[in-house]
Amino acid sequence: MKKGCLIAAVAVVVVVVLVGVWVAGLRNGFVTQEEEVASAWSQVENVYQRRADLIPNLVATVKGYAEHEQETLEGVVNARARATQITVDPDKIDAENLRKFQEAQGELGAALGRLLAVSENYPDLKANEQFLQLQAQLEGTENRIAVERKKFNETVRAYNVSVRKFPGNIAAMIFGFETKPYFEAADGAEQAPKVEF
Amino acid sequence: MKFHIPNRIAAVLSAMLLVAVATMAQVPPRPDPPRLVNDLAGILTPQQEQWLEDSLARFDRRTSNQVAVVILADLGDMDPAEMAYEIGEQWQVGTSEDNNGVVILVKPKTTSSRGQAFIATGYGLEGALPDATCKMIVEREMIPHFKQNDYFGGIVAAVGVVCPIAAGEYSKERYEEDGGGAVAGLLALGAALFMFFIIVVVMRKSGGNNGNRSDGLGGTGTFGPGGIFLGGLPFGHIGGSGRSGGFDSGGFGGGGFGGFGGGSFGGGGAGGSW
Repeated sequence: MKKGCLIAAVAVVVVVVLVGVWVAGLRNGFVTQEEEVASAWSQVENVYQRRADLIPNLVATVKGYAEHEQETLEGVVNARARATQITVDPDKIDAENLRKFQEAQGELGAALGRLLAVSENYPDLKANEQFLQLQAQLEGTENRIAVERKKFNETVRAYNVSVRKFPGNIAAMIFGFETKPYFEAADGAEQAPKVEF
Repeated sequence: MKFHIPNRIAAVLSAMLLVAVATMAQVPPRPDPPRLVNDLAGILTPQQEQWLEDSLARFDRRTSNQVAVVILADLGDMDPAEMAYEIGEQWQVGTSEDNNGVVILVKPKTTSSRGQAFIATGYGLEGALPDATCKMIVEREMIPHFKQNDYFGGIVAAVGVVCPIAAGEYSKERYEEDGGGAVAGLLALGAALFMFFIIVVVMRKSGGNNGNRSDGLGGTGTFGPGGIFLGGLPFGHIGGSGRSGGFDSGGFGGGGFGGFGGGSFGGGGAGGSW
């Protein structure tokens, strides 16, 4: 009788310890994946920052040739100011924050698109070496943005799958790990203007 | 309640999965055995392909920079930039420590579609080969040749600039400044290369090579200045390295391309169309 109790107690303790170790392992997995999401996010912010950094030069170059486009130029400067104000703490990426970020960057992308479109009307500007360089850099930045957004979404997807899939979802619920939002597919304004012949 | 996946998210997940699968389907699979030169459109002659492969494999062994050349007949609905990055990422061009891969993507012009060329740089080479330099290489080295249907010449010319810049043997500033000035150097190199060919011909004749190797020289007719560049700059000494590699029948056995190394791409590079 006593011996039976002891065995049962030991068994319970062993099971509890094993479950504990297993749950802790799951939790560590979430932490690692959350870190990966955070680093993917900082890459996303880096490339958007890179685009923002190109803008003062671009605006100055265009200004020299296209003074009459004051409104378009101001539109870009203002959109840049708004966009650079919105940063998202990598630990606090939620749908709301991401939406705001994407909206502000989308507006900046649209304003840039308009600026590049009006610059088509100025042959001297289009022939300017510095403008061509800036245009190439902008194109490259849009490519980088597309790549980093995609990588971010892939990282988030891996994290979300482990948080939602049984039995990980139980551990996630216990420790308060929630799913993270994706970048939505680029709406028209967000895409780099394409020139087709 | 947390166990239940809302339909909206499930829909998003499956949509993304579909997109991922669709994208995967278009990107050519990683070549096995690994090769740096992948002419999936069949526009290079086997000799040209082998010569380029040997040159790039040698460059990889010497500097660890991996330059992959991919020629596709069709990009599906991807744009050239996306295709080049996907190839770089999925094939893992470059080493995982340095991310020093380059993907040179060419889609030849057809009667119904424009030709596309793109140079994608791995994370580690974005500094050495900025977008503006890549763009210049595409426009200055590749497209003029491609417009004349000389795909080999354009690729060789591009590789001849990309390699020395990636290896830090030639600065991008110098390239940007003296694109024309380099021609003077090319003429000198051209003379050296001419000598080299003579030596090769003499060696082949006296060395008793088998018959089918001699048609390897047929490729020499298509060498533009770029061929000279390739012989001269990235691969160092014309006589030594050239002879031990692609032009010599025995050279390849010594060591081909060892395989892609885990490099990653972040969207660096530039392209053009014609």
